[in-house]
Amino acid sequence: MERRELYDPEDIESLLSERSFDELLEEERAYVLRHLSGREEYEAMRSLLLDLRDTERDAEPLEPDAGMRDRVLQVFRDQQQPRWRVWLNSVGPLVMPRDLSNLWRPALAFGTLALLVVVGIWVVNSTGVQKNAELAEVRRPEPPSKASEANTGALSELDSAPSEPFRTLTESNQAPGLMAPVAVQEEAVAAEIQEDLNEPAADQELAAGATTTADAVAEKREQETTKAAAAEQADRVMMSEQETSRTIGTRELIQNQSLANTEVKVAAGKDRKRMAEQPRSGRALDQDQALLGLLAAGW
Amino acid sequence: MFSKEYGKLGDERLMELVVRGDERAFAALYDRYSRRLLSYFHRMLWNDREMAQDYLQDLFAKLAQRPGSYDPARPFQTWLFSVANNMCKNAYRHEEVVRTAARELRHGVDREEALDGRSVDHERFRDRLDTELARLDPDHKATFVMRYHEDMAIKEIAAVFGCSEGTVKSRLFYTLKKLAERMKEFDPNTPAAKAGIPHHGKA
Repeated sequence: MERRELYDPEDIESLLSERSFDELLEEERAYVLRHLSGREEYEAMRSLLLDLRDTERDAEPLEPDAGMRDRVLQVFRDQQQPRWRVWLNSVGPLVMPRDLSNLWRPALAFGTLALLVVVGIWVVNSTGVQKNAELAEVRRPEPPSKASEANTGALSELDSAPSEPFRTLTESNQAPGLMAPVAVQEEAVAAEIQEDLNEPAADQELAAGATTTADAVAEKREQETTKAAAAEQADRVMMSEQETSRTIGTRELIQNQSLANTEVKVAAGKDRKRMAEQPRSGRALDQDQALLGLLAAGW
Repeated sequence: MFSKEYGKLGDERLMELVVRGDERAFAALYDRYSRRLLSYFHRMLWNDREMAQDYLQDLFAKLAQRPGSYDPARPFQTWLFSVANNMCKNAYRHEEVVRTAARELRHGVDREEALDGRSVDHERFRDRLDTELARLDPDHKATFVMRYHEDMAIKEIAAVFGCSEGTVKSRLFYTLKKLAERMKEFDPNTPAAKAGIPHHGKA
């Protein structure tokens, strides 16, 4: 085995630490001389190494700053804190800064923003109060019996003219149920039409009047009257239907039964008053098959 | 584990506890390595004590902020010194230019004082050694400091640098050889020493 493989620079280091050049064995010296120029270089390296160790041994160890341990431990503690606490720590100086002189611009901006928000809320509330007032009036809780009595009283005033169909409507409105006024009014109109068709009183009056005049004139008048009455009856039915649909179609009517009943009955009372002022035309309906077909289809 | 004897725990076990948030384990590691690392920084950073203190604090602050960056597969000591060595390399990049000029000036004065002086003490030897170390390549200097100042084994130094043990041995040999050549005035066998400069550490 070649001797070069037995040593390496670290072995030279150990030789330098332990023995002088003169104390080396032959094979050790041969190895040293393969890496170093001679005795002088070996001794210089040895001297340096020994001085170095002596110096390090005698040197006073450096001590970290007294507060460094606490600082790094504080860093460690801060790192172990939950994130939200760190976030709150950053919010604190933002909310309560120490130097207030540089914050007049943000304060002005935030103040303006707050003022705008307050004004906006006031405007919205003022508008909303009016709406709510209407809604409160509509949604005023009343017992169904009182509402029905009030509706009945209102209709009784309008019932000064004798009219059987709307009397039936008033009585039907006292029945409970959200859609009761609609059904009642439909039934009332249908009953009125049927009653007009079956009632011969108007024909007898017209026939009595016709005996005092000529037959031709009477027939002509009768035909004109019949046509006019049929047209007016059709208009009344359509108007009644439109007004009823409009009133019933609103959500307020569905949500508040008492007001809906009142509105329907007031509208019905108006129609009934109008109908009372108009001449009866039951015979005309009976004779006008086209109108009857139209009414039947509509209802 | 209700009573932990942190002083008896190994470095790697302490780091496991640090990763879990154990403050006392972190304090134990600090107590165990702060002086050695401060000495290392002091040697590596031109014997600047303030700078060494700052770097020591930065190192442990990094460890506190990111304990998970430690690789459990590596020995903690070699990992810690590799981090410290990287910090020193960064310091060299920033300040090497300024330091070189000041060092050259100081080297000339030291050489003159050594030649004309009547005594050589440890303090002067250290100053001169530091001056010469500062002239070395950072890796060679770090290897030398770890070996002869921190008494680290060849294997540990190799782990710090991620190189073979032969590379470390070679660096040490040639560094020692170069320093001996540059510091001949401290060799008692040289004419200057024989003229009257006392020498210490002679076997």
